[in-house]
Amino acid sequence: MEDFVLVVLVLAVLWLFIRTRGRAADRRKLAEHNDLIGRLHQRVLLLEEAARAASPATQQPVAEPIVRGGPFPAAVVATSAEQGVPQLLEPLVVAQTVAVPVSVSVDAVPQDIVLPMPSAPYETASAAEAAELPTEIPAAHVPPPPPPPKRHVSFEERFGQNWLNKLGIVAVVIGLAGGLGLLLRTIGPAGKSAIGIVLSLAILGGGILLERKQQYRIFARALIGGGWALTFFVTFALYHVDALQVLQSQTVDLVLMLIVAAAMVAHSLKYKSQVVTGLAFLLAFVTVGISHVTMFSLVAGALLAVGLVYVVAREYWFELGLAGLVGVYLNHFLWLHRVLPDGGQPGHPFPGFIGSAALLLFYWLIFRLFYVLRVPKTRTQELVSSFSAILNSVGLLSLLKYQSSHPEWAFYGLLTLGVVEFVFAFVARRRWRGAFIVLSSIASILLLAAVPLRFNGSHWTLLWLLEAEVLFIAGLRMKEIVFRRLGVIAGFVTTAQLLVAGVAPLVDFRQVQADATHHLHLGITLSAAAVLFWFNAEFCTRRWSFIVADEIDRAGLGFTSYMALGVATLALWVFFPGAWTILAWLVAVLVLAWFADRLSSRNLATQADILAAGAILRAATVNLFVTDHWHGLSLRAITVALSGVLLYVAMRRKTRAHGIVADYIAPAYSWAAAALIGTLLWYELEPIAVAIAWGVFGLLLFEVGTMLRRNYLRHQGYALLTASFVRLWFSNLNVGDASHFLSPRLYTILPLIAAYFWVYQRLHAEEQRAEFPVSSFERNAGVVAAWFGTVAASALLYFEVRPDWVGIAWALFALGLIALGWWLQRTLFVAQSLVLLLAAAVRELMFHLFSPEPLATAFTSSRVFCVGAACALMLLALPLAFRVRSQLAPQAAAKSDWRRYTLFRPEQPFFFTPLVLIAVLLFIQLHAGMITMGWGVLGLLAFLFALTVGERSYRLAGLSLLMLGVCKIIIYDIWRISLTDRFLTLIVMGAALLLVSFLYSRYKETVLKFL
Amino acid sequence: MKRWLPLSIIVIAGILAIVAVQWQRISARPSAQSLLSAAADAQHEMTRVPAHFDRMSDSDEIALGDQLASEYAERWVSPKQDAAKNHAIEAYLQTVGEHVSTGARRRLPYKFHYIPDSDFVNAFALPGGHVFVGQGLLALMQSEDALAAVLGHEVEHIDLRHCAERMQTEAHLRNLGALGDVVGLPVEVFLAGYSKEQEMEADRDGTALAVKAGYSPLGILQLFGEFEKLEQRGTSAGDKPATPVDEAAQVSLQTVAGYFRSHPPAVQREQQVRELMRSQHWDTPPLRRLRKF
Repeated sequence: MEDFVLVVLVLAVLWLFIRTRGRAADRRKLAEHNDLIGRLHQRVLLLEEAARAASPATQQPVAEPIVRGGPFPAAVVATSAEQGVPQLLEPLVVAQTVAVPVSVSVDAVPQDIVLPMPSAPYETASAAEAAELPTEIPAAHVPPPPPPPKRHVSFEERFGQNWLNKLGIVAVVIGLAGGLGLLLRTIGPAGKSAIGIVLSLAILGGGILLERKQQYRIFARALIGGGWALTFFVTFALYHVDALQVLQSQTVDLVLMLIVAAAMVAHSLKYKSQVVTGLAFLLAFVTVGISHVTMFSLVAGALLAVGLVYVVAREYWFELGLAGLVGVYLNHFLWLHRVLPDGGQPGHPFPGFIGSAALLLFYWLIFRLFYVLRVPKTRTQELVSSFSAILNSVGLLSLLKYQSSHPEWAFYGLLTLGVVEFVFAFVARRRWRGAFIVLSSIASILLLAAVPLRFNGSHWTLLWLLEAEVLFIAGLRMKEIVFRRLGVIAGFVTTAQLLVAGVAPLVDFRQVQADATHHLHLGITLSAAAVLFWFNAEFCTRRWSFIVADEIDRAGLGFTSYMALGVATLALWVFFPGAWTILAWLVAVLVLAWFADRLSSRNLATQADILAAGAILRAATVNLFVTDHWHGLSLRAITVALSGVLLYVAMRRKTRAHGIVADYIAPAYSWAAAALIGTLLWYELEPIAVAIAWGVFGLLLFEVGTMLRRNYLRHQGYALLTASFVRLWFSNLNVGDASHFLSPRLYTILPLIAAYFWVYQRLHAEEQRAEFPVSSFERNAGVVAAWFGTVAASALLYFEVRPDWVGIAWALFALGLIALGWWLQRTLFVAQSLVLLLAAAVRELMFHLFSPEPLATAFTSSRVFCVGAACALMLLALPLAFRVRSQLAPQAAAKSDWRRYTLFRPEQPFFFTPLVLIAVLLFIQLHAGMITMGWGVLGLLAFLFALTVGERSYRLAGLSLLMLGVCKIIIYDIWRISLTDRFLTLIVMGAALLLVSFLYSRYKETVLKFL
Repeated sequence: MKRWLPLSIIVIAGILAIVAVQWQRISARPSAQSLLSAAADAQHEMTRVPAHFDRMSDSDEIALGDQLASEYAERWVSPKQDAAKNHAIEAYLQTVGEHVSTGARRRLPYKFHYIPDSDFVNAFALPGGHVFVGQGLLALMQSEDALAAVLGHEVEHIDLRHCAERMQTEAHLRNLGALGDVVGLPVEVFLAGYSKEQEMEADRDGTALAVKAGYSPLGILQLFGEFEKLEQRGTSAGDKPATPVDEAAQVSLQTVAGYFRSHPPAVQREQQVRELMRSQHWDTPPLRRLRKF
């Protein structure tokens, strides 16, 4: 009880303080203004006097000075007629100085003139002093106006006027309140109440009466505030304070308090102060809140609400409206909490349920009507009003929920409320757009929130989807941006719900175990969402372009389009689980691509690329590891191969994605397809079949690329062929199983060799035709392919042929290559033949000549046979080498480097290589003098051959051999070998030398000719 | 038409090859074996010429070989209770080995040692004429003919200077200046095997030595059959790598690890011996029983 008294007193003092502070400030300003007016008035008087003094013939009676306003009492100002010549005052010194030209001398102006105090009469100058004033004042010298006389407000005045009344009324109130308490022991409740009522009414009445007088206005308002506070308290105490209790019915007391509050409100309106009236209403609401009456107090609260709404609407006090809204719902909650401490229980309605609900709806309705019908004037009012509108709905729904014992009604309730909100929104649409936006949003939320209360699963989502689409279409038809945006936002919310409630559990499920179910409901829902989103984002934006005039709408619908992609992707994943997903996605890519081209939509093109990338990624991470079979066929092979085909089809799209300038579509898709199929081949085939498969695939890509003139296809072919070449070294060449009839190494590498040479031939033919310019890359690619073929063939020979015959095989290959070079007139083959020749020579040298003879070997594996056969093959190539030299002679003339003597003169290596090999063979195979004889014979043969072909280098080689033999005889044979061998050697060598000399003489002209 | 015909032939040939491989299920795990063999052979051949002119003398080789052999023999000291048995086995090896080595080109004091370790399924040769045979390898043999061929194989590694060249190569690589420092070479240098070509040479001439000594070439064929079983167990077709990346990693690791272990497959070695039997018309007397101890 005492607490309440103190609260009331504090509130009253606070109110008084606020009022008086405001009034003090006003009074200060008023005082300053009055001072200024007084000073100005005085100055005018002096100027008039000065003017009259300047023209003494025209003495005019001085008018009575009029003192207007000012806090000082009606001062008696003596006229100049009574006081003689008026005393000039000093120029006024005011904040806003106005220059007034006066013909008054500065010297004549007294310096110490001060404005008289209210009680002091003016002191005017004597006539004698005035006579001394000059009559004429120089025009050029205008004296500054005299400083204004300062009005001095004494402390006493201030204290008496401003503070005494406040102190007094506080003292009175406290005294009365305390006095009443003191009287508890002596006077009965009726007496105390009577005294309280009389005193409070007296204070109130006194304040109202005194307020009429200006000078008592501040004091009066303090009295009024205190009076109302005291009246309210006493009315409250009539029932609630034991010492003053005279009423037995709380209802009666409530009614009285409400009457007092209403009177207080009505009276406060006079002051046009939101704070003041707000405090009054606060007291009223507190009254309702603290009462223990059941429904009745709530009805009182409803009446209060009506009153508050009326006041607020009239005065545009939106902040007060917000506070009132809070107070109304808070009061209702306090009552509900007393009645239902634990809230409503389903199936157990409380007696006041209907009434309470009706009241809540009533509160909501009146505040809603206020919101719709009263249009704010400023931005701040708009914000406060809109916040109140939202709070109104929140309050209603919260309390309805709290007291709810029939949850099954919630759906209908929200639905109805949503519809009603829409109605209000349309009502407000023409008056105030802000209200329309807020109410439409609230209505949409209510309608969305209603659905889950009755539906679940896909029905829930579909209904939300329907609502979102209805909003969007409505916005389209009505050209109402709010509905369109609400529709878009509703779409976002629906998608989130779908993902969280529908898709996420399925993802978790499928991660744990295989799932072949199609989940039709979820899939259909996702598909429907995707179709609608795409319809909105891609079709509607084109059909009605105004809907994307704003940047926000453009962004929102753009995001919607991508959301459609995400949802469609999930739909396909739901419908086609496992390995089949990528096929569905790639079909969707084709569809998107078609639409992208049709609508020239870069969004759809980008989405197609995103989905394709996702499919490729899934193929690489999931499908390639699938080991299941479908009707006996590998599921991996089916799905990945088809994916490759679909990617090739998808590369025909024309529209590019966002942010990409280059023409990337066909190359990117085809490269992806080639990589997928190539990898699939690795997974599906045996290791040694992979290289052939890559080679064949690469060849086909190359041919298709050539046919369609698509360089990227050819590049893919090159890549695959290169991969096959690298792979055969690690896979195909390792197969050495002799159990097969035909070596797997042979029949797996031969097709590759053929493919490499085929590619080279095709590129060479293109270059020759010159129909389409061949880049240096393509040209080099052909050369590389030819070398691939030759190296692969050489490697095959190395691994397939017996080690003893590898040299022979290479020599034969070299012979074949130079024949090819001559026939096709291509230096590339000539170069390759020379490389093979070198390889064969090294092989023969290292394998046969510098290694020990096997202990047991067939003749066909012996050193003599192998080296001899190889040399024979090399020499067999000489006629072809000479023909090649003739063919390349024109080109050789233009060369000045080492190629001139090797590549363009193949007959030289093809002669000297076997010559050296035979010479070394003779050295290793024979002994002592036989070596010399062998070299001699060899040299002679070389010389004879040289004469036949007319080749000087050959001749010199023959001579060198002969000389080598001679040197050996001199250095070694004469001293080391047996006599028989010595003589035999000398005879043979001598004969050879003689023959050579004879030939020199016989064929001198021929020799000179070729020198 | 002219252009499409050869293209078609190539494509069809490729497809037929794929079909043939798939039909026969030829699954050879990819490895760098062939490349390693070729590289090792090429390296060996390239060093033949300089090695020819940089040969160690027989006396130096014997001296070094004796030192290496005495060091290595200490690693496998047999327990006292088995000493007599091991000596007997060693004497048996010496008998067979001497008989076989009479046909070698180089006249060196060939000595044969026994390694009493059942996990040692191998044999190796040291320069100068020392041959070591493991207990595990002896366990795989089913005839004295196989033992003769193995001893002949190792003798030929010495006869053809494979061991000497390996020793000189390792000495250069490890910057072992004086010949005496070569003694510090680990035995693994000689255990690692030789190039494919060298192994084939040793097989060829070692079997020839055994046949010349009166043994049957079927003995070594039986042993190659055992090797083939071991190889198949080690490279089973079911161990296909999971992804192409795994395959590439395996090949790389094998390349690094197997550079000096380029043993030709047993089937190739068997093929060579059969070819020699056919071309040289070798007799195939009955196999002699391997003496048991």
